Amino acid sequence: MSLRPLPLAIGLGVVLAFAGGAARAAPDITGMWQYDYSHPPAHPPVTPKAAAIIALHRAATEKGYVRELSNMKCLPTGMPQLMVWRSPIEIMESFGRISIITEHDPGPDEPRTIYLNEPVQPNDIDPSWNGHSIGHWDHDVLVVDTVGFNDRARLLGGVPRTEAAHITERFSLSADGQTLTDEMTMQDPQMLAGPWTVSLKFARMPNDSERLEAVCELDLDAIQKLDINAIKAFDIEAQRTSDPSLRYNPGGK
Amino acid sequence: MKRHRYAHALRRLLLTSVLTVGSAASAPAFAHHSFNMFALDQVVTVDGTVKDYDFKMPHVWFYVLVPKGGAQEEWGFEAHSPNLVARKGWTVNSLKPGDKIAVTMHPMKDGSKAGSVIYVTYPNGKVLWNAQSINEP
Repeated sequence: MSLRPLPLAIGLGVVLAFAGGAARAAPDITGMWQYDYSHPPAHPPVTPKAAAIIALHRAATEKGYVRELSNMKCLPTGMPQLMVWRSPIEIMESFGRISIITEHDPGPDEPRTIYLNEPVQPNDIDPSWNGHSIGHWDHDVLVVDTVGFNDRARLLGGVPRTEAAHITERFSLSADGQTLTDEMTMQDPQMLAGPWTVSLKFARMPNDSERLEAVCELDLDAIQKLDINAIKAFDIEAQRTSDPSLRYNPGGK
Repeated sequence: MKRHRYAHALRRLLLTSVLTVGSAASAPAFAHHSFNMFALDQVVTVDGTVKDYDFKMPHVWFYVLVPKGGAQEEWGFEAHSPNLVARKGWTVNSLKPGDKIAVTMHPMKDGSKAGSVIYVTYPNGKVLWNAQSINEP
């Protein structure tokens, strides 16, 4: 066997190591981003159950129903709705995690935390508005898996969200670094007949863009005038409020 | 340059019609009025004098005295939330009582004296656009 291929192999190995190293450097997605809401995700593949709830909601809207009780109460909108507001999001990175903070009313939403050092989802997740997100870099793509949702919010397109919801995301940066794409796949067997994938685009804002406050204030006037029974079939929070089995009564006992 | 590019991108984004904001789940609530209450197919400009300016959550409101037949009518105008209109150049000091302005807006369908702001014009020609106006340049 000739010795000649050895130096060649070493040389090639060095080149590949450098190339590989460059490819593995995670893109910098930190900063302020403006969601492009000009093409809102539409046409979710809903189950009959979800379709019925959405139809009731739509019919009520045509008769003047404007706001959900959760909106009047300043409850969060949760994941994934918190990603698609008209106000910016800010993505930050610190040791072992990526955080996304929002700026909108209603809410205020809790920050999203994407844990980068957890290879698998924990099995004792307390259901929450944003769920539990774990992520890793697959070359230039940030792959995020989120489970552990509560049933008090919605997916995109007005689809109610259950505790069984599962959302995966692939975040990628354009070559010029100015556009962030979040390819999001939502699954929720009770509400979606199959996985629903949408592509969310974000435009990079200048690094010195201010993050502003947008604090939701409780609308007592609207709550007092609300007929909860009239909307409980399609208003998630109204249903909780009127159903004792859901143990709505924070601070009770 | 970067700023300029961003402004252009944002303007493009904001060209979207408010009518596409269909789902109540994704539409921010309006404090007092639903967008349904405004006649989005009508564009009206009124001239008057600022009486009050509330640069507050959830939505900016200001009140304008509009001369009519020797008397004055008080109109209320709604713009978007402070954080959104701030990015269109609005500040807590944009309007003061006594300021002469023209308000271009979508009036209420029911004829009451209120409107959804498209833009405000100052006597010197300066224009402040509401965020997410369907007529935004």
